Amino acid sequence: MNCTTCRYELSQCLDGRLPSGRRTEVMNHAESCATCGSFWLELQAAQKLSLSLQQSEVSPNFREGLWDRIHAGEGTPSAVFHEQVPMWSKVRYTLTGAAAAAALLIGVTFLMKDDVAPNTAAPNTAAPNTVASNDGTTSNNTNSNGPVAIDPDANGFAPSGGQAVDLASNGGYSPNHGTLEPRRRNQFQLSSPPLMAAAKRLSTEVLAVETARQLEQRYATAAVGLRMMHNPANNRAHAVTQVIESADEMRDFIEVLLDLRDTQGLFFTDAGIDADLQFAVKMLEQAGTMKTSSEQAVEMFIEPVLSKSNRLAHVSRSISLKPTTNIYTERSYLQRVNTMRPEVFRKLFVVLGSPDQMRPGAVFLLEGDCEMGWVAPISEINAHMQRIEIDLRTK
Amino acid sequence: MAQSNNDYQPDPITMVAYHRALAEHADSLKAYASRLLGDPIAAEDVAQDAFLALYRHLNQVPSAAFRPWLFRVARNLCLDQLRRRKFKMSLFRDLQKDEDQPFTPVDNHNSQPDEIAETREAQEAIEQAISELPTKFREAFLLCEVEGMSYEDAAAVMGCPVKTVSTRLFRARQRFTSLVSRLIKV
Repeated sequence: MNCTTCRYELSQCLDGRLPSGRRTEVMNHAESCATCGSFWLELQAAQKLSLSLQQSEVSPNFREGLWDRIHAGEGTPSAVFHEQVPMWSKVRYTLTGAAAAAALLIGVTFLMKDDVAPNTAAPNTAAPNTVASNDGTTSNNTNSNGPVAIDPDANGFAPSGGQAVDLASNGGYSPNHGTLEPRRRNQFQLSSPPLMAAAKRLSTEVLAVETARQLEQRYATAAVGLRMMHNPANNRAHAVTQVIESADEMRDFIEVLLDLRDTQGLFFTDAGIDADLQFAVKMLEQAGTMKTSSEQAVEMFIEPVLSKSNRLAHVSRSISLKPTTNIYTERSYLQRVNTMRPEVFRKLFVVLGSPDQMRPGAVFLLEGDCEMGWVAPISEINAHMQRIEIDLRTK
Repeated sequence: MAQSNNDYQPDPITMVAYHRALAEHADSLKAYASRLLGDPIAAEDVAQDAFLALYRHLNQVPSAAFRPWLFRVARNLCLDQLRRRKFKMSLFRDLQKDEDQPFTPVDNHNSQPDEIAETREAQEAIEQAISELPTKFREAFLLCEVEGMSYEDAAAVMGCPVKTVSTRLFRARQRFTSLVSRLIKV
């Protein structure tokens, strides 16, 4: 080994880029050669110096300035995205694009002629799928008569063992889903996988955003219930029940958000939200504990929350998280939420778990060997379902 | 074409990742731009421009790639500014200044490198040494040595092969070591 090669590889060695065998050779050379040995020590010392450089910080109004520019609708920096393109390049791009479009058109026309069969796929009737539901039960169902089952493998995606998941038993679907006729169900099953489309690896970010979204939804439901309550034409008892149920769920979600704030570095970019959440949880707790009639509880404790804490209608747009320093802490926190608050967790996510993750009387436990499991946020499943229904109606 | 601000609303989960990137990378992005430009005020503008560009392309950039993407944009903006300020030619002449502008000597030669660096003079000398590296070497040095970026990410930022990053980093280290040799007591 010559000294030039050795020095180059010592630089790589400093970054841990050399395989161990090669590293030993290089270090042996550095020990035997005084010049290279000295160079190695100098490299290390120089790295210490460069790492000791003080990090400059952005000014305190950096974020405010950025948001002002974003809200002002400022575009992308012209230096990066609006570079001057020579005229010849523009002509070349246009010609290339036109040629590609023509080729595509010819190809599609050719294929359309051959495609005489209707675009329907055969239903999956091979074997009954094992259906694992989020409420901790398993059963065998066939696709023809039972609830709609989506096989993750059919969509090229198997988050945990490739188990089919029963959406209908989860409670996260829109009620209209049940009106789909069987044939359309099969089409939906094969062509539109809302659960898979919504699937995400569980993280504190996903938990925080979904909790905020569900809180917004319950806030809206409670507000509608309150308006119905004050309208004499409506069934008052039904409206009161709707408000109280929504308020109970709101309290659960607020507690999760406050817990995330206290333990996981969640914060709100709108400072008023924090105060609104604390006020709301305090009032809603009192609504649950006071021995008053339901209507009195609504008027005394829930109505003030709905009227004064209107920022709760937009919580999800104002949440942010400080960087996670320890993924193990994050993981254990998420598992704790999953096991300690199953009733809340069930309202937030469909857990894409496998039967071996199931425990008697509990929901799926998120116990992966090395990382968190996959979940599908309820709000996103609903959004996908609504899109599918719109598509089906328009067809 | 950028979307108008009114109808552009990124996904909340992406926004959380954006906030996180803002908290994690704003300072280092500014430091990187500052060392490329030699102007902390312009560097802050560059950092803000990079984050603005990221916001506009949030739906296209995966959150795992935020960091190299931001540094890539910042680098392009810095090079563009340098071009406009006609500094490029002077940067190529930088090496000739080595003998004209020697480093400020540090009295405490017996201290360890990390102790020396705590002194203001040493900090200035290190900054000066970095600023005297040729632009290409300086980029590699700042990204890999100062920011701790992997060769692969640095290659994505610099738009060159990984092997080139490795070579430039080696050359940069050689020059930097010789430039700060007065501060190093081996």
